[in-house]
Amino acid sequence: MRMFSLFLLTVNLFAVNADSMFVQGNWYFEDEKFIQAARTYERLLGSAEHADLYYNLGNAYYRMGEVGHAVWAYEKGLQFEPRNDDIKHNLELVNTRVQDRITMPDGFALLYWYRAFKNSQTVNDLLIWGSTFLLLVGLIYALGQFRFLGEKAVSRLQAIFVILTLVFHGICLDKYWDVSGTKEGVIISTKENVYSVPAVRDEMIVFKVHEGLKAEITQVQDNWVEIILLDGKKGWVPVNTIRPLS
Amino acid sequence: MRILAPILILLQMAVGQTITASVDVNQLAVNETFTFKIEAKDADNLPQVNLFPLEKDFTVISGPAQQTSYQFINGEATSSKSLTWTLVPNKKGKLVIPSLTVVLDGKRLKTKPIPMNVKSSGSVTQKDELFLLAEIDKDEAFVGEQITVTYKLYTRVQMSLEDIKYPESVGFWSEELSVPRPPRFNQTTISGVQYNVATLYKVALFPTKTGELELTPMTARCNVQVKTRRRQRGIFDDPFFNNFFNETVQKVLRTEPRKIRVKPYPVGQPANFTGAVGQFKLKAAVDTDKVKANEAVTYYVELEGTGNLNMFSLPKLNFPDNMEVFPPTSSFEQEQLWDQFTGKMKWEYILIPRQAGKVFLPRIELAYFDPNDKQFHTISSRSVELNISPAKDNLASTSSGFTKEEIALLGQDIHYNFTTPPAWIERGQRGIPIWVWTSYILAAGLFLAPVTLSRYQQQRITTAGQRMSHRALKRALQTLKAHPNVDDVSTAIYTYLQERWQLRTDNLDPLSVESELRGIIPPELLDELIQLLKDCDAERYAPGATGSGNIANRAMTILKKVDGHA
Repeated sequence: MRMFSLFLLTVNLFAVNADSMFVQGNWYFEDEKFIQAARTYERLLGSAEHADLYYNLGNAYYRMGEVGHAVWAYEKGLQFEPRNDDIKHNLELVNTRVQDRITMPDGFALLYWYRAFKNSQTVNDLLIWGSTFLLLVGLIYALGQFRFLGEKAVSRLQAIFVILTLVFHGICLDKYWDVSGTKEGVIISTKENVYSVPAVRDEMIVFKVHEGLKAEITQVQDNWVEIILLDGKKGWVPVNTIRPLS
Repeated sequence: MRILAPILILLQMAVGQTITASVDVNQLAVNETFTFKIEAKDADNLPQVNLFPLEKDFTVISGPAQQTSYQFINGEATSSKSLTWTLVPNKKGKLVIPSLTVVLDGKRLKTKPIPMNVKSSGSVTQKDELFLLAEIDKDEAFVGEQITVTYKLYTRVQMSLEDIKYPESVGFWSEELSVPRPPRFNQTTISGVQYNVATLYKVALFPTKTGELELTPMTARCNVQVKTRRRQRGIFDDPFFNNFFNETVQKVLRTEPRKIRVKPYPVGQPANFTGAVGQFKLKAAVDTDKVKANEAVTYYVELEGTGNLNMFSLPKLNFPDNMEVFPPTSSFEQEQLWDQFTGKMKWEYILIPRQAGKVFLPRIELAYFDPNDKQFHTISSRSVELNISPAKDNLASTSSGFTKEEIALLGQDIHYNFTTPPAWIERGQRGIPIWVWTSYILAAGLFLAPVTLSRYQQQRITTAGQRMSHRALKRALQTLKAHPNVDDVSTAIYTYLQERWQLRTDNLDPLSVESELRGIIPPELLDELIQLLKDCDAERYAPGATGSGNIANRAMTILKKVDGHA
């Protein structure tokens, strides 16, 4: 019994602490002490996460003019709530300040829609979809067995929902691979040379990147990471110039 | 080039080869020219001379002129090749034309040095006859303050200007001021002597640094005609014809070097001071009041005044974010007739507003130093208000690398913070939501439900039959008691049998009963039952064959017996 109450207490303490830190950060923000606000939010990130927290952190960095960190925070927030309009708006806004501009070729429409849908859902969202459809399949099966539904209706509905269940679980798996398989990061240094080898050598500069650019991290070696841009450009940057999004 | 043949100082010939250096005069004034000649006899090529050692004390005015001549003396031909320069001494005193190295037909030869005696200019021709004067309006100025230097030629003799070397002063930004071209001569009197004066060159100098700065002298070369009583000729008569009647002497005129002291500004320099010195007016305007989004507007900035107009820049203008600004074109119009450097600078900015609404173009402020009252002043233009009406069509092409959606974002700010603490997710505790688990379990349940339910129902159905069969006898006996007539007795028996053993067929007759119940009840009992049923049928068709009260009682006892064998 005592153990149990102790456990309850720690859970409560954690929540209370997080709440008070969050409120503290908001106070700093309101006072336009953005550096302190960002520091408070970052400390809170050590123990708790939430889309709102990342969003506020992004706003603080935006006000500080730290474009790279702001993009990072908003992107993190979107990982939790990909359909949050405030986060999307602010990310778009801060992206207009990013100097590097790489647009994906449009590809064909179906793929585009699929990607857009996938990006608007978290793994859990997709799981909810899939499991709900599975539940419906079960329900219809049961209703058919008890002859509440005609055989024709049952077979039709069953076919639709079985397909939907499979499709959503498939998308979910795809998304899960996306999330767990690829590592992305955001450039946080104002301007960075990208080298073709993991070493500072002027003749090996392949291209330059600026803060706020999102790139995929393909390799990590000592203090260097290999990044690959959307358009396929590849090179090495020091590890402290990029903040990973995982 | 005219070669005089007077006092030729022949220097002895070089060893083996015949090379000579000579001058036409070796007694002269500092502003007079002389001819220097290097002659090579019996040479195939022209000699090559490096004049560098000579340039310390002398200045080359013109040359070299090449000459080749042949002579026949006593039937023997001699040829000579010569180079001739016109030189002027740089200073007075005993000078020496140093020994020069001459390369002739691949051989290096040396000339002999020639001593020159240069007197101050007054001794040979009167200085007063012809001189060049630099007039400076002030010899003390602030950085950026205008100093006007006027170069004037004073003359009392017939002369023609050959060449002017304009000064290039170090430490100044110079702007040429307009003077009549060709120079116009006026009459003036200096201490009772009449002169012709012409302004050759006028320049506005703006010092770029503090300290003692020196004006480099201006040099002019002219041909002076020695006066003759017979003829008076115009100043700009062709010198070629003059040669026939007048003797012409070439002279080099130089201004005296002048020093100017440049002072630093007094204290109290404003932060936005960019180096403007003088008096200025600033104006800003747009070309039209009615502006549509996505249509270009021209924004003019005009700076008018007197001072160092080309030496400073306007402060950087901060235009609103939602308009595109092209780099300005600038133009400068100088007031030609003013001695003070005066004019109008004009900048034209092309602006393209991207959003409808009211926009203020920022005020422009310029700080300048007025050397007259020795104080800093700040002028500013009014801020310009633009009312931008919406674009006719929104299909205007976007530029500057933004897409249309992003352009719409340009004027906006970030959305504000979320302020209420959310439901925290503990770090690294992102689980699968309960709903997912619940629906998986529910679905599994639903798949299993029909099977279990049908089993249960099956059981219920069987138990229901049993219960019905248990009750069958009771009901049959009740029926038999209530309706003891023959029709009802046979119906009651059949119903009982149906319920008791759940026989499927509705139309039972003694035969089918026998086949159904064989093996279930003992044969003698079955025979008795069949006999009863047959009796019932017989009684129905021929009443009284067996006795009716008897039938119902018999049925009751037989059914009681039969029921025990279920």
